[in-house]
Amino acid sequence: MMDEMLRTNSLTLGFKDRIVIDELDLDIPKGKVTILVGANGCGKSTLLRSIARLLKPKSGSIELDGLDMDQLSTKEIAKRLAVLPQSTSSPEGLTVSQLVKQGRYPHQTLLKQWSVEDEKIVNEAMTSTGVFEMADRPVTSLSGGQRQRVWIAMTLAQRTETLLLDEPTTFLDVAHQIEILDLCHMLNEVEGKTIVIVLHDLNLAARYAHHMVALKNKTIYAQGSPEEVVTTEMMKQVFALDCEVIEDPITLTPMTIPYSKKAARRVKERAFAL
Amino acid sequence: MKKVFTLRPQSGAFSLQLPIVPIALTLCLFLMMVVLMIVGLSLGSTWVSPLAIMQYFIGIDVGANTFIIESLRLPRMLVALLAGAALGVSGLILQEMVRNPLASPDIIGITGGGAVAAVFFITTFSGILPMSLLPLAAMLGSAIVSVLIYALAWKQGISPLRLVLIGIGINAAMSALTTLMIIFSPINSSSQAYVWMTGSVYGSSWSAVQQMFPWIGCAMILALLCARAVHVQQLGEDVAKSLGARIQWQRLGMITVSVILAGVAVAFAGGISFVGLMAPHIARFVIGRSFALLVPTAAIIGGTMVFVADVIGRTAFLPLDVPVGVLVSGIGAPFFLYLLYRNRKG
Repeated sequence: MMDEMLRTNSLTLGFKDRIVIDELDLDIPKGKVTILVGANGCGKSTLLRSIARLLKPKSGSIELDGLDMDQLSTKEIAKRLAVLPQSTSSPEGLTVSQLVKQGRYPHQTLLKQWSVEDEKIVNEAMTSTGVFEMADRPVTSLSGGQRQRVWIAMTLAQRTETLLLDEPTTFLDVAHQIEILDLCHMLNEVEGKTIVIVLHDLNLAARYAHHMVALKNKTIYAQGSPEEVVTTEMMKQVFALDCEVIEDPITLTPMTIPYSKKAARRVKERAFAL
Repeated sequence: MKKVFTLRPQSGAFSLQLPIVPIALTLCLFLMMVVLMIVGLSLGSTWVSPLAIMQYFIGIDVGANTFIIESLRLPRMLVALLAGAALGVSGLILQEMVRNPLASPDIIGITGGGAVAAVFFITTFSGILPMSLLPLAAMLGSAIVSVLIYALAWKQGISPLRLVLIGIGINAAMSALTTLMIIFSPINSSSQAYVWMTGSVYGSSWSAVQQMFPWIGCAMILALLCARAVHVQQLGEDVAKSLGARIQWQRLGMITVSVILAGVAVAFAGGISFVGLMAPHIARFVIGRSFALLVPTAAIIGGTMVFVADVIGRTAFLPLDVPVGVLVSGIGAPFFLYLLYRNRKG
């Protein structure tokens, strides 16, 4: 049996009368990259927000490394679990190093605001994300990809075992999407972090995930290795889309090729020509 | 040159980062304020030389000037200074808390609550109760209205935007109520109420300084202690929460400090507007982002604005004594527009 870092026990989430996640039992393996996928509005971001305790569950509980999250203080959780929310905004004029320093917040007190350890960890976080050279530049002057790396550096400065990222590649071009996911992969490989990501791009998800979870109808539709999860049947059920699933020529992970009206026409045209 | 000095003794008992340039700028502003205070104390219907002022401060007897400085000009200047400093910091905290540069105690109704209570006191109890109770009434008014705003803005926690909108609504209701009371009151108390509403430090005494100082002193220290909370909340609600900040408690704390400061200022200097909005902006122009330094800077700038306006008000229109609130808005507003204009070009 695998070791789990996070576990939800009949977790129910929602807003007012609307239930988004119903009695969900989910285990997230320790030291692995877990990627949550699902159609728009299936509740994957809601689930992540709830694990990050940005949203109170309607019922059920969440365990972090065997401890009930309700029993831990917010600071104690912040030392074990870092979160990068979907949309972040940095105030005008704040520099990269000032932002990354905020990651030390849960470790600092009124009197101890900038210890030798803080300085060392912030520098390490900036180095491993490649933003050290921009330390004194305002965050608002950076490109989308750089900015995202700075925010990841801030979560690293928190020095947590677990990192949650909510659609970290949205608004980034494909090169920067790969860059961010490679960074996550490195953090998992080198530092052994448990990483949970909500991601839209299924092919990238299949490439980077050890463990994939597909959500549908307020609960888990399928979970397991990318090969187990990404199937034509899952695509049909979860995304209501007809697909071919082939092997990614580079990573040998499953890759989905969706049918569409246009594709159908091309296939027909080619058949006609033959 | 290193831009930041790190204070970190061997024992490891505490550690702080001190940005050098902004600290130097704050000290410069402080010196400028002291110089302006000396000049301001010299000016008036009777000229007292700056030398005599300095002699007075170091304890040399300056004869007849002692009365002018000690009884007439200094307490009035200190009340103006304290009120301005309090309003500046109150506005600073609100702006940082709601992450909106337009917030200030006179816009979200804190001052308005004080005004209603004060005008009610003036129009109803004038001649029945001693006027020395007016500050108490105004403070109570600010406090009650702030609690009301906070309670109405509560919806599974305080959302800053909701707080501002409800504050603006309450403020509108308060000003309607104030106007109504003035209309129904006899003419002499209505003119008194008007002067109070514009903001005036005419006839301020040492007892006012003594009453204001402990409140404002304590609230300033509390404001400095908000620095960590302010910086973490600037990153947005989600990030602040995930860093382990207890943002609802922090917000309650910030609002309380802001209300104490604005309430005390309103109680002793009336409804001076605009300082709470403007002083934090000017402070940010000078200092940048560090909240721990913005607190003293906003205090110095707010205080200087109000006492300079008051010096002008009591000297430029002799024998008239123009309420300080008129001059703060009259000079402050164009100056503020100028700053924005210059900033646009730069």
